[in-house]
Amino acid sequence: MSDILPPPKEKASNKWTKLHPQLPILEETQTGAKYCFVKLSAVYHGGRVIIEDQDNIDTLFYKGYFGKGTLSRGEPSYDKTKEAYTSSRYEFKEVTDLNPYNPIPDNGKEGEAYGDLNIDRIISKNTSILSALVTSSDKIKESSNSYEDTQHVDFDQGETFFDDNAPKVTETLELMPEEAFFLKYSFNCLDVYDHNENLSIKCLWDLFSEQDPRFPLRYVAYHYYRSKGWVVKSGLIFGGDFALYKDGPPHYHSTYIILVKDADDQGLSWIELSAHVRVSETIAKALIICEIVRKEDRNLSLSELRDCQVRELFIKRWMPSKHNSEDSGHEDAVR
Amino acid sequence: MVISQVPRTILWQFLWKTSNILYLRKELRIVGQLEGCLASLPRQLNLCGRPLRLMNEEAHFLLKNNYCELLSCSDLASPPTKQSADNFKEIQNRAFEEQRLLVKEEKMQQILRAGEKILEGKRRKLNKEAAKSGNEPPPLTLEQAVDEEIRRIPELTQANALVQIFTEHPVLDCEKLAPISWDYPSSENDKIRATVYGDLWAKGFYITGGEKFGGDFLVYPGDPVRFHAKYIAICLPFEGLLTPFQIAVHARVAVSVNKKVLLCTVNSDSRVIYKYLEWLDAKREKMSQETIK
Repeated sequence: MSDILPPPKEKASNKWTKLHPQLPILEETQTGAKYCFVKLSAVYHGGRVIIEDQDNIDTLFYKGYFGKGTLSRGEPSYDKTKEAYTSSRYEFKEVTDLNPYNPIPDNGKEGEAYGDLNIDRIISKNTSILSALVTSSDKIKESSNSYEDTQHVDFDQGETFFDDNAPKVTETLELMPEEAFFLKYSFNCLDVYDHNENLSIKCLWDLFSEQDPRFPLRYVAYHYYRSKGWVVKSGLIFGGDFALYKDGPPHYHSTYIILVKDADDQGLSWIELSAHVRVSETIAKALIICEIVRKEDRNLSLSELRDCQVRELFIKRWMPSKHNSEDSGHEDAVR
Repeated sequence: MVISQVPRTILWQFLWKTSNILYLRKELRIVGQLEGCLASLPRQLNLCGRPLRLMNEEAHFLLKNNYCELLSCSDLASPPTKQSADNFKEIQNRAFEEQRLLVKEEKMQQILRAGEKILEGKRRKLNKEAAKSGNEPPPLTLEQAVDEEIRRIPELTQANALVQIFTEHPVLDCEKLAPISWDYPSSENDKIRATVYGDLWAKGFYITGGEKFGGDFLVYPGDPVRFHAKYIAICLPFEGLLTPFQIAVHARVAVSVNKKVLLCTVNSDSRVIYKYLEWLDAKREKMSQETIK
């Protein structure tokens, strides 16, 4: 019974109505034909794909749950809450004196913060962190042309200034490279502009592949699950590549965490795998390893997308104590 | 799916002698892991018995600091000689003999202790027989009664004897003991782990394996029987890449089990550098800032 895939769990607050159609392909028109094809535009800036226009944001997010609000946890709700969501941050701190008698204090001022990483901003970039850890006063910084620096207002504790001349903070929608490419490649409903140049499919592929060497593999998995009807979102918070939702985050809890892997690759070590299994147990989601089988033995190119095969493996921890027919009565014994 | 292969090493790090196991734990802070089956509690994995299995790093530590020696006995590679086999049979026979005598002795003691009752029982039986046949019951003394019983003690058979299963060679008549080398640590990762283990041990911690929590080691401030682990140590190469996924996974596991992630690496001067990963929850930070005000 416990070996089968767990089914999606509906959220108690599932009061949102599902909009139809559920993908941003067609929209109603006031004039002429009843429906027309959707055409949205996004800007490629500093490695991120950003939707600025408010209507476009609504279309993209509420039909298919693409993207993430830059000042919110998920749904672009800045206008409603007027509060920028600062996501959980991970800080690396040096241990000055590691000994058994003085443990590292919680949230202490121990050591100096070497730089904090806003996890939400790192979606597909690997960061060379350890070499940064060594140099004593470097801070890991985003690129200085960060999109939001141009619009960011400092939310300092204490007083708020009401300045009419201050730039208005508006929230934008940020898409994962996989999402942007999917919209362009499958439906051609998104145009991505880089300095006013409309990037072609091939251009987009090359750009994203260069940015993230794992992009082609991740994209195959993304396309595969989207085609099956799942809403696929970033699984970074769970330590995986993607998280799958049935119908979308407001309706159902995410059911599966996907780890994407190349079929020829060695894969995770036992220790890393046990960490992933542990996390998925804690958050009550099933872990699926998605193996991509390529035909050719070189980097995946756009034309080979159709020839890929996907193998799914459901990983679950098996505890012998729960499967024993004899009750030894020592389940709570010394660990 | 292929999980990374574990390099093949000589598996020698099993300890059977209880005195050694206790010495290692009490004097040297080496914990190891019991992996054997307890005869009294079979078919479960919650409580295990000897042998104690040492981690590669623990074993390497012992060898490096001359707490133990690694020897090979070439005799063990071939079947035992007739001499050895005879010696062993001799030991078994002697054990059986001792048991036989002991069983008899104990039975005799039992009979002597219950001598009065036996006498009474026998007298009653004789009286009953006499009453039936009409004769006088024959006289019976205590000595006679007891002797009778003693003669009736059954002999111990091989099938009922206790057999010792040795956890140590009873007669180590191996003459060809030669030191042997071990090729651990060989890979870069192994070297880093061994160095980090040594450094953590030198600081006074108790260290066990961290596979359960997705790390390399679990670091305790005291004996694991009395303390919970404080840190999950993860060993990383100095010039490596740390992906956001790894950060997220390790931090999440640590938070859910109330431990801290300790990132360990060894720099080019063979110095161990420690960093720890702190997860700052946005809500908690806001609340703590408000309380400070």
